[in-house]
Order: sequence, then C-alpha cells, then structure tokens
Amino acid sequence: MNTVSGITLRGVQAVPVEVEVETTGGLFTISVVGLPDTAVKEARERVRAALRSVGINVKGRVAINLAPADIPKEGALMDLPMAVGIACSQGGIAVKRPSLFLGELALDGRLRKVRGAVPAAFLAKQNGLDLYVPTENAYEVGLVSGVTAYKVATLSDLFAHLRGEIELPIVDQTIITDVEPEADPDLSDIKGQAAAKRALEIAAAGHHNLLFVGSPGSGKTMLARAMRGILPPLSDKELMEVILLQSTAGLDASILRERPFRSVHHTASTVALCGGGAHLRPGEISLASRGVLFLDEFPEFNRDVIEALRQPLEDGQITVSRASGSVVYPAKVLMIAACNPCPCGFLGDSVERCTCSPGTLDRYRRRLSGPILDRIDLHVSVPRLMPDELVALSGKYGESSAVVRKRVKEARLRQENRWRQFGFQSNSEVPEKILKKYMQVKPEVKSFMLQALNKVRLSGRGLSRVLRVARTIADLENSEWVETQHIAEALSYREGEALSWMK
Amino acid sequence: MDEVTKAFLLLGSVTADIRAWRKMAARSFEPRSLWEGDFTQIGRELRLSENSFDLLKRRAKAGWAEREAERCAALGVKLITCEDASYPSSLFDLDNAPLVLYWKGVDIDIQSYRTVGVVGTRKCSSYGKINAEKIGNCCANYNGLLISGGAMGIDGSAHHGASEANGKTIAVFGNGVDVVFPQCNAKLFDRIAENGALISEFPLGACGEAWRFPRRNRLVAALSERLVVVEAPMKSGAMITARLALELGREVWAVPGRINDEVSDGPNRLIFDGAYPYISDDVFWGPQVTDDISDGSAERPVLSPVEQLVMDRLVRSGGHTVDNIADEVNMGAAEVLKIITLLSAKGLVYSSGPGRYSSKN
Repeated sequence: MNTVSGITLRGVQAVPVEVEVETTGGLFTISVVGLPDTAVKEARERVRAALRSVGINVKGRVAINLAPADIPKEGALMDLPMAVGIACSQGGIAVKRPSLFLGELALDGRLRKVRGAVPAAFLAKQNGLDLYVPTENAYEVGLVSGVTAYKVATLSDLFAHLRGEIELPIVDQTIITDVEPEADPDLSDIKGQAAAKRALEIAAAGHHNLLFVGSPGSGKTMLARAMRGILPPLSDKELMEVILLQSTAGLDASILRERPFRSVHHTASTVALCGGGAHLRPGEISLASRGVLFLDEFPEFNRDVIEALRQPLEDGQITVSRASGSVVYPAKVLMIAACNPCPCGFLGDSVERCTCSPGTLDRYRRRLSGPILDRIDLHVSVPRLMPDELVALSGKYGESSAVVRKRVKEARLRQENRWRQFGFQSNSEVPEKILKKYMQVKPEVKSFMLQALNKVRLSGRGLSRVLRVARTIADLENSEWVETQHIAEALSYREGEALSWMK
Repeated sequence: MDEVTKAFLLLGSVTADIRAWRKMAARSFEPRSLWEGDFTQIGRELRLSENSFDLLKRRAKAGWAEREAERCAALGVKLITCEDASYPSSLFDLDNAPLVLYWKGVDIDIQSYRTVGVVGTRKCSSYGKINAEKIGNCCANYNGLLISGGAMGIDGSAHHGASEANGKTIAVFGNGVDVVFPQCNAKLFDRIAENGALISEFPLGACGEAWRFPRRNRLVAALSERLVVVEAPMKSGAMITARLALELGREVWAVPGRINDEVSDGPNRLIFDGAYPYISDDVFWGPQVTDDISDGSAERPVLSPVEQLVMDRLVRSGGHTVDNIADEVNMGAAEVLKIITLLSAKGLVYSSGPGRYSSKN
C-alpha cells in the first residue's frame, strides 16, 4: 500500500490523492497522469530541481499516477507529495506511516504556502493520517485540533525527518482569542444618523438585509462598515466554517472571532460573486458567509449578477455547478446594499442641486427595482447632514457598538429559542406560515394593521416583511408580544415609506 | 361616416384648427372639396402647407378617416367635434380651438364643474409633489374637476390626488390617447379613465414629440377656470401655460416656494407679477364646505402628548432629520422614528427629503 498522498480540493472539501511512482530505464522524462491541470503538470520542473538541490538526481523514465484517476487535480499543492513519491522510488526515502503531504516547492527546495491547508487538516484528522505542511500554513492547521501535523521548512529537513535523523517541529495548537472584537468604526464614531444606526441594529438582530439610500458623503459606507462591530462574535462552528472557506480561497485565515466583511465592486462578475470557474472556487457571497456582504452603488451592478444573488440569499447556500462537478458552498450573508438617490447623487439634497433630467431619474429608479428588493427587509434614507446640524449634534455620540452588540446578542438568543423547534435561527429566515402562527401579535394590533394596510397598500410579501421586522424590534426590547409601536416602526422601513420622497 | 366628420378628422390630423373650418364655411366650400379640390384653390386659402395638403388628400383617398373612426370605436375612444353639443365650450375662447377631441373615459359635462388646472415641472421636489396631491385631493372633495397634463411630477401627483379621493379629473395628452406616456403613469391613466377622461386633439398613435406639448398646454389653459402653478422653473411649459391662461382671462394662482429653489422661481415670479398666491386651501376653495368632506380637514386626529411634542416641532419648521428632532425634544431616535411613522400613518407628516421630515399642514 502506497503511503504517500496529497490532496485536491472539491469545494471546501479535501479529496485524498494517492501518488504512485514507477521508474523504468531509458532516457530521462517525467510524465504525470490522472487529470493534472497545468499547475500540476508544471510541477515536474519544480520537483526535479528541488530534488536535485537535496542531492537526488532523478533518472530514467518516471511515471507519476495520481489516483483516483477520474478526479481533476489542481494547484501547486501537489508538488511535495510528488517529490516525496519520487524520493521513495529513487532516493532511498521511506514513509512509514500513511501521510498527507502538502506544499509548493521552490527550485532550491524551500516550501511555499498553499491554499487548502485547513481542509487537508480535517481530512488528516478524519483518516488518522500524519500531515506535513509548509511552515507558513502551520497556524491555520493549528486551528484544527487533534491532528498530528509537522511544519516543514525545506525538502532536506523533511527527508532528514523521514530518515529518522532529526525530528520536525510539531504544529502547535493555534489559540483563538476570545476577546470581544473591536468595532472599527465604532457606532459612537458616527455622528447623527440615528435612524440608520437603529436600522443597523435591527438588521443585525434579525439578520435582515438592508438598503441605504443617500447622497455621496452621507456616510453610507461608514455605516455599513460599522455593522461588523455590532454583530455577535462567531461561534466555534461558524468560525470553523469561515476558516475553511478562507483557506480554500487562499486568504489569510482569521484567528479572531470577527465576522467577515466583503465589499464588492459593481464591476464584479457573476462568477466572482457566486463562485465557479473551472475549479469551482467560492465566490464573494460565500467568503462573506456568516458576515456582511456590502454592495456599494447597487443599481450599477449588472442585472444578471443581482438576479443571481436572489436564490442564495433565500437559501443561505449556493450550489455551484459546472461540467467538472458541483459543490455546495455556504452563503449565509447579511447583505447591505447602498446607492445614490439619483445618478448625480443629489436628489432631494437640501443644498446641492440635482442635475438629472426626469428621464434619467425614471430610468435610474427602474434599475432600482425588481425582485431583489423583495429580499431586502429594511430600506433606509440616509440624510446628508449640514454643517449646522452637525454642530448641533456635537458632543452627542450615542451608544457604542459594544452596548448595541449586547442587545443584538440577546435578541438573537431569543429568536433562536423561539424558532429552534422549527430549525431556524433568525426571524428573517422563518417562512410566512410559521411566522404568522407563532410571532405572538397582540390582539389590538390587528385593527392598526388593517388601518395601515388600507393606507399604504401592502402586498402579501410586503406585509410579511413588516411582520418579520416588527418581531425583531420586539425581540430587541425583550417584549414577548408584538405591539402597535413595533409594527409602526417596522412600517417606516418599508420601501414605499422610506423612499417616498424619491417617487 | 358623414363628410363633415371626415373633414374634421382629416384637418385635425394635419393639425389644422377651427380657423380653417371657419374659413371653409365663409368661402362656402363643401367638405368634399378638401379631397377633390386642388392646393391652389383650397389649401392656400386654408393656410395649409403644400405637404400637409398632399398628406390630407392621400389620407382621404386611402380611407384613413374611416379606419381611424373604426379604431376609435374598437378602443372605446369617443370622437367629439367642435360642432357637437358635448364639445367643451370653454375651448372656443381659443382662436385656434381643436376641430376634434379624442375622448377616452366617461362623459363629463365640463360646464357644470368648477374646473381647476394644475401645472408644474416634471422634476418636482417633495414639497411640490405633496401640494399638487393635496390640491388634487381638495378638488375632489369640493366636487371640482381637475385638469392637468398627465406628465410625471406635478401633473401626475395632482391627478393622483384627485383620483385617490374618487374625484373627477381630465388628463390632456400631447400624444394619442392610446399611447401611454410616460410609462410609469400607466396605472394612473387607467384609474383616471375609470372616473374621468384622457383627452387629446392628436390622432391615435401620435407619439409625444416636443412640438405637441405647447399645443397641449393651450387646451389645459382653456379648459381651466383657474390655473394653479405649483412648481416650475422660469423657462418651462408650465409658465407658458400660465401665460396662455392669463391671455384667455383665466385666474392664475401660484404656490409660493422658497426663493432659493429653482423650481419655485416660476410661481414666485407669477405672484410678484400679480397672480393669486395659493397660501391655503380655504383661500382657494372658499370657506363653504360641502357635505362630501369627511376625512382630513374636518376632524383632527387625536395625538398623544409625545406625538404632539414632535408634531409641534415639525410645524414650527420642516425638513429635519430624526437626529435633530430627537435632540431637540429630548427623546431617543428610535422613539422619534416610531412617532413619525405613526404621524405619517395619520396623514400629518411626510418625508420631504432623504431622511428628513416635514409637517403637511
């Protein structure tokens, strides 16, 4: 039984790849079979040079088989197992225990950082394999407990270890700091904008998607960035999910319990946002999973891109399917969208004059509509504060993020307790039927609702969005029942109400 | 189809007006001479261009008028010629009154109503929008007939206010009555046609070209006993309409605005030049209240002490953000937001800009 294995990635999962090497006489060649991609094929040159640097001159016809043969192999992380395989066959090295090797080789035999170390660590843990990783990947591997993993700096160190001459350093467990994440920016850093801050709090508590509309300079981006600071820290399970995704995408894995924040530019393609490509990489929506996905200049996004977001926002996961297979990535994001009220940005501003023609305004508004808005529960207009208004507010900083975070945490706990029996976590994901049955609306609210319904002409979907938000507001106040005031506030976040000045 | 109607349709299709018809009567030309006579004999007399006259003749030969009438019947569009009894007599004040009106909607005896024209810019502020809507609303409550142009902005808001209160309203189009322009008003037009009318002097299918709108404006001016300019920059169609209305001897009213808002330049200027300022509904409509007014102005909604506090603040001056209101009345922002929503549900407060609120009264 061959004991040298590498991995290839299928989504966030590592698939073991056995490396078999056969050498026969003849002129020197190395051929790789088993669906290698270009990076794997080119490994031949790196492997030969690296082996030479440790004194192993590869001779004869070398055939490398990567099994199973029908799964495409990708990436430079196969360099090390191939080098070890050849060394076993020609260099008198023996691997005694079944082991997983991971690493990209430099020509001089050093090991470089690779992506996918965390999935590899999970695989090693599951199958009881020893794991050899580049030193730079050590801290992320250390996040997975219960793995025998060695840090490898160079190929010669590794061979010395395998020969029993030295002992490679074992990867230390990485300690995840449990300190409360520091909010940057803190809510108290933002002057005024009390209404928008309140909307952030509700969005964070009930996991509602949010749209900010406001002129340039009103502070939409800063508000969106402040969202991260009022979300509760990641739980162990969530943190593992986030680290797994980050490692898969080749990002630096976070060792803080801070939630991810991904800001996407409006030129992003559907693949960049949703994931895909030949190797089924995760997209931004998955990298932002358990955190915040921020879409600035929302109407400028390609229509198709926005439409593609609809289904994952609903399901909390995304299935990326290509000819080479399909992978399910998590996509549990809180989406914050931001946009200007009109192309020039100053519609309704109290000082600047809007220079858009009625036709352009109409077109812009039409772009800012469609089914995606149905997934946004909270619509908020952000006023651009005038200097005198800012002066009037000076010295009043409002609550800090930590205070709000505490309320959000408690509200989330209440929701979890209520919906656990149905398998939901937050008010935003509960289906309408269950919501209406169990949300506990005070009887006197009904008449107010009817009155409001007559006035504002809510659609069925619009109504359930209002109810959902009202339930979250009640949760924030630790109120068992949804009362008239909660519904009243929830109504103010409707699209028709919050953006009425635009129409 | 009789030859007179045919002549009206054909003349109307080349934008000839009542002057041409009167001339024909004076010279005792037969209607058929329009398509049987030649240009030097008839066309020049009627001041038609050679091209228009050619077009007219070609259309007459091809049976265009008959087909147009059939199309109208299929669409439920009535044709009202200037010789019909139902032709609005106020249009005769124009020396270039249209020969034929395309009328889509219910029959309305315009003479029996107090007619109010509302005009203004397509690109209005929330202030203009809210006031146009309110004027429309009042017009319905006082049993008036609201005339406007069916455009975006002020026009649309005025129509909307009137139809919302189940009032009668007429939209005068600068395109064919079967053309929905602007698209975003499609639903509004359907509602107007249910209880009011969409009218136009242009044939079916005519699209909104720039030269048609000033012609449309003269109809708005003529049909209105009183014309209100809500918001309009100095150079605008609404100001042209106001000038036409003055020439026709109509009363012109203007909604005063802030002097640094471009869209209030027009109305403010009109007031300076002697137009009536629209400073309250009572001043415009007179204090006599018909029985129809039940909601809104008659009974004042009951406010809680905190609601009253916020309301008082907003009545003093408008356009404030939640932050500043909360700061001044010493309440939490969430609290104020809630109160404002309740007040706007009661129809007392509106959003006058992004995140800014004003009182409606």
